[in-house]
Amino acid sequence: MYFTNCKMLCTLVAVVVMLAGCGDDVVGSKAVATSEMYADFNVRSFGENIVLVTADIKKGGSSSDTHVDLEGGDRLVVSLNLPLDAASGSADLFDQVDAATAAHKVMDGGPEVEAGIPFLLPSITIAAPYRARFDTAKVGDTFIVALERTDYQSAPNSSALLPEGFVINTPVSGEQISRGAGLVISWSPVQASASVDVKGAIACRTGTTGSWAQTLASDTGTVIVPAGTFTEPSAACDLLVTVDRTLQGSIDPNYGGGGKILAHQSRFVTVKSIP
Amino acid sequence: MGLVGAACHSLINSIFSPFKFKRVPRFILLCAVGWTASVGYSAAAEDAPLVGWYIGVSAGGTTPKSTNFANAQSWNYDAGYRFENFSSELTYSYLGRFRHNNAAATDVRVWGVTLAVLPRFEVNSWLALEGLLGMQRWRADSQLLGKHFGRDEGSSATFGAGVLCQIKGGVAVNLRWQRYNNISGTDLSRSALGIQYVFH
Repeated sequence: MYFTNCKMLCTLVAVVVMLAGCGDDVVGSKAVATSEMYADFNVRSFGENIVLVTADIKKGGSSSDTHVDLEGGDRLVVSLNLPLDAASGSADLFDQVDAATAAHKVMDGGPEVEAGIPFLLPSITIAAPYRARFDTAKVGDTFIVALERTDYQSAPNSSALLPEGFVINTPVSGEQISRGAGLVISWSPVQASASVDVKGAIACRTGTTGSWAQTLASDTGTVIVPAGTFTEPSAACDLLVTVDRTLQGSIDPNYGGGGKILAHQSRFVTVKSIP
Repeated sequence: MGLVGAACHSLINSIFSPFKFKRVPRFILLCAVGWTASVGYSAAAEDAPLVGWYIGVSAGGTTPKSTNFANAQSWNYDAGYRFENFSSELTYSYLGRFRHNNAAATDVRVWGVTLAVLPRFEVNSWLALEGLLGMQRWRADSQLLGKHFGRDEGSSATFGAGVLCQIKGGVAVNLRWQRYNNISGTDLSRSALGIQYVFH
């Protein structure tokens, strides 16, 4: 017993040391030109007009572990349909400025921007350092992410179009699904111009977990999870089904390391998975 | 007297509540009011109502009707002529920088010039009640997230009421509430404490 506890403790210490050693680096933006940056932007709607925009900027390329901390007046601004530089008013300024604040956000929000989003999935709680939230977005809106810089060239023109919303038709939330049969996942309406990622994540009371995923280059509205994909022999489990529709936008060419901006419509449903 | 003092203290605090960081103007104004009161109150009753040219300055707080903007500190510089029962007054007003409650570096600033008539009812030789009715030519400027957003200008009616306390030697202290109608889309209410000097 003593040996077992000691072994567990040693393993824990080793894991902690490894994690500490593997931490990503952070560099201040004053030391990084835009031409050295890689940008990773995600615009994600969960329905109900709430949109969360997240951003991560790295030094180097997509595989870099060095994240850029914006400082010294550098900032990210995300705008709805119209860039901040083009926003203007000439009458009733109190009303117009107030309305404009709903369409232009500085991406300085931390986790608090997620407050009040009751359906946020743990897997979607992205650890991106820069966030902004819109409560009035709608399908067809274009999100424009601008990197404003004081000492280097700015990158004002990264944009993505929010895909059409949809609902998951099958399975129905709370439904009991047999693991011995194929599971049909369907949603509507279909948007053929978008790609779709469908994921299933199972968690059983026994502690067993498993996952399944499929990517559709073009939205077809249906996928089938083959029978026997999840093999837990007896227990009842929770199966989380996520459907993520994505449109790729265009990244500003001033990011020398490249980048991507993706706009998502994400929906999910939880069902009971039985043997 | 203690009750009056407490009420005055509360009123002054409410007027100057937007002055969170700039204590000096408040301090100077309160000192000026205190000095004029101390040197002139006892002899005020002996002075007849004054007529003539006057100048003045006031400081206070302005509240916008639009609820997404915070209160702001404001300044007025007055000049006018005091007749027997009314005054005619020209005022340059800095009505304040109204910061948006939910967005940094986002605000609307307003200033203007007002021409007003102020009917006056003399309660006694040192205390008078004033009304105010006038027109203001205003200008507003705004920024959104630190970038210039737009300008607006126009003319609006203004009205108000106040108390004027005559002190010795042509000095008077006034407490005034004033409403500015439809300044770039919202109404502004200003409460201010001021001091005037009548040339006589």
